[in-house]
Amino acid sequence: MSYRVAGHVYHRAVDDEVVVFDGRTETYLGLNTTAAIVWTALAAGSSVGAAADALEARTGISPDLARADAIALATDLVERGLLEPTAG
Amino acid sequence: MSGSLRYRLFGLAAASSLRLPLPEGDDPASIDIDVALGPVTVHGEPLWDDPTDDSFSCWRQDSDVVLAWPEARFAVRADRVLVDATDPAAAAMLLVPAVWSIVLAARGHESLHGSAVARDGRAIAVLGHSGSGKSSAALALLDRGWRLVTDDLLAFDAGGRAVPGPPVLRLAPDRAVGRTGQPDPAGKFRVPVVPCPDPVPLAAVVVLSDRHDRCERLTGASAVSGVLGEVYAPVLTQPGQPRRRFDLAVRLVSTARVYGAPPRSLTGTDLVRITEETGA
Repeated sequence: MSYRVAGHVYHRAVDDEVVVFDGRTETYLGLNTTAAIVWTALAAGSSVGAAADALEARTGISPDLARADAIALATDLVERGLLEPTAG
Repeated sequence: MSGSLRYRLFGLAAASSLRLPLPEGDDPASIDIDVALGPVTVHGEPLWDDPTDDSFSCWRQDSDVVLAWPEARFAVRADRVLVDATDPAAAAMLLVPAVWSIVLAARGHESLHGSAVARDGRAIAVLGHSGSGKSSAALALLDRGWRLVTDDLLAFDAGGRAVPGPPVLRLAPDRAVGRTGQPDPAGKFRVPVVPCPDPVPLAAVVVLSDRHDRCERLTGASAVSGVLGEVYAPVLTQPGQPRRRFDLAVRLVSTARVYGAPPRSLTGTDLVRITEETGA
């Protein structure tokens, strides 16, 4: 599964974290270092699997935990309306 | 009809019919904003109206934003402020900085609750709520030869530089002992200081907040959040303000080092250390 950043969302990397502004609700969300790794990968069009690989490589956590974390975060970001699933 | 008094306020040339407790400026080539006296009625779309608190309300009235305190009412738009007050001195105290933050917002510029001082073309800003020690921190560096950029209202130009405000520091009376100045109606002491004449980039920002138990570096989202917690006027008066505030915070965090510290905790030694770390 891949995603794209929703059109009403603006995001910026700050230090090793990411801040995300939701133009629809006019609220912002801070993503910590590990969440930022997943966001950055998904925002670039990578699959959840690739985002999990990036998380595993950068943090040293197990592949299973990395995949579970990446899926959980992607699901949460979709529910918040910040990411949208793409076809294919 | 423009007022006959001329002031330079946060980069704007003002023609005012209301006398402000500030030095008058030279007659500029053009006037950015007119401060006029006249009736202001309180009605319209409520932007801030707490029925349990009659000390302040804010309303949208066509293209005006109306700000109402018991002492004075103001109708604000980008190029004009209408002042309705029985006590001109109290109105002048409210005009700068509180009403001016709304003027700046009407012109597309967000501002923060902070003071700033500069030296050698770089500035350090101290953000925080009233009574958190912003002005005292600024004074500690002014006494070390720095120049005042602004006290209480921290505004920015299009390039993200801090814009000079009035050359006056407002201090609690116990902080002003032995200094030349005048008391104001709010019980503070207005001390004239050496101003920084030009806009200046910020090298460091210190956020004074109860969220911190010591002076520490803030990075990433916590730094952005710390800056966003110190917007000057929480009330939203213009479309697009949340995004502009977000952009301002991200820009600041990307260009200046941000620190957090408890209110009233900053010592001259802390500030000197921060200026040395940041090259300010």
